[in-house]
Amino acid sequence: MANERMINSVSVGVVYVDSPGTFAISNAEKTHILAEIQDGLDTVATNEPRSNLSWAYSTLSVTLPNFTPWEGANWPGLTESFYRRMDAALWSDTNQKIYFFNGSEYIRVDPANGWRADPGYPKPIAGNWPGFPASFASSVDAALYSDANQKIYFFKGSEYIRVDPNNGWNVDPGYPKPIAGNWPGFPADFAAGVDAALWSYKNTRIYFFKGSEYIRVDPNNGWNVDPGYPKPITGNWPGFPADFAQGVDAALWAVPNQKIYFFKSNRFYNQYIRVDANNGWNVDPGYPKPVGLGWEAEDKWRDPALAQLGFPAGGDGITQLTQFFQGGVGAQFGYIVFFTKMPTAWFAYAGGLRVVMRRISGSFTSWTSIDSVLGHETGHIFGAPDEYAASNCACTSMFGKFFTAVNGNCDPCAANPVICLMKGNNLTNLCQWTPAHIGWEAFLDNIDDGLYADTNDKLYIFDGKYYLRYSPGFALDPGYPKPIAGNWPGFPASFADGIDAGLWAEQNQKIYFFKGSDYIRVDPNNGWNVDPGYPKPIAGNWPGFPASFAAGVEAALDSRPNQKLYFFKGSQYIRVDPKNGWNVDPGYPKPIAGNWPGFPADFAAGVDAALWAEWNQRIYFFKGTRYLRVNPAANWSVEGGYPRDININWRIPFPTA
Amino acid sequence: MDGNQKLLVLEGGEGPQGRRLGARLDRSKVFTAMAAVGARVRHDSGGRLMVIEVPEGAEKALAERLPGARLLPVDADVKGEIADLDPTESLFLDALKLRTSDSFREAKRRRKYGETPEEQLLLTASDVREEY
Repeated sequence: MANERMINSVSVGVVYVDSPGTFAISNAEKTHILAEIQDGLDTVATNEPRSNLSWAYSTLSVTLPNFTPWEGANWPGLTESFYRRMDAALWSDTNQKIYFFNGSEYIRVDPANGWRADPGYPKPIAGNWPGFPASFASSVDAALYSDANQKIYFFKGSEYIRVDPNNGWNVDPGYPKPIAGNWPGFPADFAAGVDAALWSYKNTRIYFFKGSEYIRVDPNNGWNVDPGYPKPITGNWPGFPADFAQGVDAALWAVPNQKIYFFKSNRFYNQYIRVDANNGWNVDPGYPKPVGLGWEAEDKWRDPALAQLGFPAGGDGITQLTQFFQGGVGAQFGYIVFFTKMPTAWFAYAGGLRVVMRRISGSFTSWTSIDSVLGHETGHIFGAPDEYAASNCACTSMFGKFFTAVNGNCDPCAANPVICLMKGNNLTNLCQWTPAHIGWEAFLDNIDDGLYADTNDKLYIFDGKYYLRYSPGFALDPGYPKPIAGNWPGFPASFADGIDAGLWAEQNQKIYFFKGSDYIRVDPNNGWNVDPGYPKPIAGNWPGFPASFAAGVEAALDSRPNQKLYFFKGSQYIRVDPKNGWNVDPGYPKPIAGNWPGFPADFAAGVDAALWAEWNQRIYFFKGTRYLRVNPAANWSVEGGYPRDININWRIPFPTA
Repeated sequence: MDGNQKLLVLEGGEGPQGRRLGARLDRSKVFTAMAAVGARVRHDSGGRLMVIEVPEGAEKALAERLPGARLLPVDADVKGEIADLDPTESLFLDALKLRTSDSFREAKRRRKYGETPEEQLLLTASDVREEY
């Protein structure tokens, strides 16, 4: 039985993965990271002291001496900023090279050399593209090589410049010029600026893209926009992924392979598709692809690190390393946090049994929110979903590993979303639903009560709004815990929020639940419905109940060996005889102490729950996080070896103290 | 940090190898002793060092149950007093020292959640990757 609740001892395996030089992590950084982790996780634990949560740390450092960043990139030799996004792309027929522009820099790529970036790049636009106005040197929006006049055009906002590669790559005189009035037929929004442009060698047309639309220009017809444009990308460029159809960042026609490339960055990395104009203008199979590396960027350093530690690659290695750490500290659950400066798609993320946190540039010591970011990621490890709008969360989606609950604090749909751990990284506040997601909603410091139901040969344990169901052999039924509400028809809201006590009465084959001074009766032979007329007050309906018991009971038990019912309140109990008008037997209440042999003092001071287990003919008493077992056939004594922890012994993870 | 937190230094007695990751100290004995006096672990180095929470007045009882162990203030400088610290233990102590420093505590006291660039960046995209 795996623990998936944020309780008890949790192993946190911290693995620093570095490499000499830029990717090195100093001892000061490692110390800072661990201090931040300890502080953050400590604060998370304070949100629920009943979780008995403690953190067991193991740290390992792995240095990869020959790590090559971005090895395996689809466009080799670019730098990270270009692997994140680019502003413009250009094919230059003049020198048979490709140019990528990003901000004030550009990189030149040589298709004849494995489509690799030429050495010495990136370079600044300023100083390398003669005559560029300052505004164009700081960035461009789009670039175009026109085979009609062997000129290069750069677009920036509502203006453009023209470069003559056959004249020292100089900007032609008289530029920049406004698009409006110089590109006939341009719609107003295209005249205000374009996102991407390309020359098509297939039909000798120029294509301009703006948002989700495009226009086509015919240089052989006065450079006019062809009739019928603009058109939507969707439906006119077959096979375009949805995000590309919403707009592209850059485009070019590559002469060496006669393909069109479109570039579009997502939130994590730059990606591209390849279109074959000679195959119906369809997107080639296998696209989009990352320009550099996508999420597999993690694999490139993580798997060598796992190998160096003696573990296999991928998920198997993560699992085995987690178990190694967890076993070393004797924790009930574990996960790994990788810290690195090496490339990743995103700077902090979680999934499975691992968290990845990356410093893109600079020192980890200047990252002063490692504590809260890791706290948030740890929430994911235990099943809590994101609650902020950009995560595309939905209020009706179900999350959680032990309990499941809706994502009720999801920002776009929640009535009054709050800032908390999963929406704003606030370590000291959990929203209403996170406790359920991470296993804190119930079954923490005690259980409310339990009962064995003869009707279906099942055993039930209740705590808070939830209940567990067991089958013969004390096997926890799949899908539990479940909420009381919706699963016990007719329960009043106060009982669905949690019961105080419950028992099965053999006399009438009914189940009784007690809450405060009221009780309800459930008929398992009538769809497990609450009988009409309930709830009723205990007082007046349970003859002979002392006033203190009529005000509420803490545990109830049906004892099959003597066919009596027992009710517990504080250090006392009463016995009811259903065969004698359900009256309390004479002489009660009695103290638990002295009448239940072998009860430890804390159990004699009061019990939380009591139940009969038909399968082994034993009575179980629960107090706090422990339970004991009584054998009625052996003088009603507590059996040896008890009390024991509920944890694990009742097939559920449960706080141990 | 809470005033009733203590640094618990356990006697290893097994040499450096015995304290390394994966080795098994008789930790269940330690946890049993702590449970008996109502103490609980907050941070565990996985070796001889733990930050624990001890109820008022229970320090003596715990010390009696763990002969040879030392209960020290969490900011105690004990690095030089513990023989054969392994890298994990050493880092644990360094981090604890940093954590308990005035500057660190003051920075945490003054911080407002969600204000760092990293926290703001985190809220711009989903950060869940469930491929494993």
